[in-house]
Amino acid sequence: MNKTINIHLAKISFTIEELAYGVLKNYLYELNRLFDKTEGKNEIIEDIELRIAELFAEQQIRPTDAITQDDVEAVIAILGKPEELMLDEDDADPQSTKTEKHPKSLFRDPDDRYIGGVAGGLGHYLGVDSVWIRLIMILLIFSSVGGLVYILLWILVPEAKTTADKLKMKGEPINVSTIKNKIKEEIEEVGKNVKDVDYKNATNQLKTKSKELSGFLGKVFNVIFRIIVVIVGVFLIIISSLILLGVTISSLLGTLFSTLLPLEFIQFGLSTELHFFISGIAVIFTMAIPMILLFTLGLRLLSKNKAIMGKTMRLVLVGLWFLSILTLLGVAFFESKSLAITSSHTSEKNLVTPSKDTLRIMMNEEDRFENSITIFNQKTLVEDGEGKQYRLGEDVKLDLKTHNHPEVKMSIKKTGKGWTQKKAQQNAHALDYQMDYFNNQLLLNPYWKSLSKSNVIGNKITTTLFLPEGKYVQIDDNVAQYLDRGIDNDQDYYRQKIAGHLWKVENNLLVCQDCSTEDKDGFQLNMSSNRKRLKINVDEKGVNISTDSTED
Amino acid sequence: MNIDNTKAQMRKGILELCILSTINKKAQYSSEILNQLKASQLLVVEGTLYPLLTRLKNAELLAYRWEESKSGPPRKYFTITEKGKDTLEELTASWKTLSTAVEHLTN
Repeated sequence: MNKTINIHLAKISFTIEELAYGVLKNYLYELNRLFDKTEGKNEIIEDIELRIAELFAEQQIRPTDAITQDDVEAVIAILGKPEELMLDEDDADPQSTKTEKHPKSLFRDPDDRYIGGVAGGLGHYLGVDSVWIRLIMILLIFSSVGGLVYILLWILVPEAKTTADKLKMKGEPINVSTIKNKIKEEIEEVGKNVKDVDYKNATNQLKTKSKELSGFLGKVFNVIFRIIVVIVGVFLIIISSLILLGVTISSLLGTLFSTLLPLEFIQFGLSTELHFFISGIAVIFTMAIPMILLFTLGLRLLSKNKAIMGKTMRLVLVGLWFLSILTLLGVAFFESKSLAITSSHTSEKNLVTPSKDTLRIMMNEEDRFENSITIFNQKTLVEDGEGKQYRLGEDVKLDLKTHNHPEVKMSIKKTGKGWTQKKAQQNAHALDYQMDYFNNQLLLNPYWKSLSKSNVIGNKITTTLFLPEGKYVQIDDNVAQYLDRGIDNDQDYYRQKIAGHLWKVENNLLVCQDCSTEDKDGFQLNMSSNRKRLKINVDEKGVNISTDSTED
Repeated sequence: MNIDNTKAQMRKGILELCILSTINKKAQYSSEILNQLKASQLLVVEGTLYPLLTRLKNAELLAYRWEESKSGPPRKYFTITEKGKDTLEELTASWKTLSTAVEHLTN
């Protein structure tokens, strides 16, 4: 006994056995898939359903008789099995059904292999001859990454074992007729199928190309064009992969570097760790993405497959690139803002020194830190004997001024920069500046320390010595580079030149006590403009006029 | 070289010409066209015809109208358009040239 069901086909009702219905349904489903890429698919299916209804109506002796499986199979035989129809459809539009519409999957190709079939599989996937992939692999092996990539792919990518897998690998549609063909092909020419597919592609392409450029000359140009395209493609691939490799290695090294050292060691002046991190990633993206695009462009030039990277993927990459650029701009903006506000804090103290004694100013050149990290020739982070870490800054200036007060006064101005007034103030207060004063000797440190983790840029210390009338000051040579500009003196010395001499405050001016040209009895006239200096010296020896340039 | 493929290609090229010329004689519905083509052994399976008819119709070489049938579902009656007639003329001419050429070469 068979179960029957009622169906409507082209608006006519039929009684059909359940099994027969299954066969019919399956047939229509297969036709649907077969004509999937054909123009006017729905109309074709409707016409065929109409015809099936017509044939059923002809065959049915009595309208009450149920349609059997045999009836359905007879109808299918008349209309043709999907495989039989396939032949025509395939030829009608070989490109749409074979190369474009069916997505490829990555498999290892057991029929085209030297080691694990990775290159063969990649070749199918990218639509490139596997020779190119092997060439690139060999080049990559020299850089030691290739071997790793190969082994990873070998492990991760499944081998194309079944015929369906192999069809997927080549992006061919999977249905009864292609599988049949494939098996036939495999029996006939084991291992040669790869070349056949490529040959087919190549001839197809040559056909379309030669339509555009007709005649022998056209073909010659075509070949030359092709060669140039291949050369450019190889060039692009090599260049972009080398740069990508560089970016990868440097970013790996960067990560290594930053995990070995605390992150604040290598901020390269960025105010926060987050900025360092974000801008690091953004820099990698900005460099890597154009290279990835160039790489795929190179592959596209070599390949017959037009869709190596999906349009969405490309758009995502381009979007990411712009995002990275914007991020970098954003970080730069915030960085500049983080230096926007300046705050300073001044403290004063008296130096007790007998007025007749000479005050000696020196720089402390001892390095009292056990560990220090130097980046770009600058100590940026130090550790003291107790294991406490400090940031170091070398922006220290010394200014000399005179005042009408009997004692030597000293002011220390700490300047900090920050995003907000509060932050700038904090940064200013965080600066720790040390000096020693002992026995008429002022020992200044050439650096400041800060416990603050943020911002080292723009912080500075300015010490100003206020000297009373008649005070002698000896400035040591090693102070030279720390002297501020605009220290008034009778020699019109500028900054560094002031160091290494003994000075006396006379009439609110520093007067040199041991400079060679000094002569109290003569007449001296100094004139200077910009960097030129004119000196007229009149004494018992005569008149001496000299010019020289001041050095900055 | 796939001989089945070649045969199918040859048949398909001629099929369009044959469909146009049968319909040119008189308006017919699909099954009538099928019967004629099958009788002259141009068609192996009927399914091949439908995509062709749709394509010719979409190319505006054919037009159709529906007609009720006493024995079964409604029928699509195909008629040839002016454009179809022009195409038929062109195809017939080129067929004649071709068949003469083939005749000449294969004999």
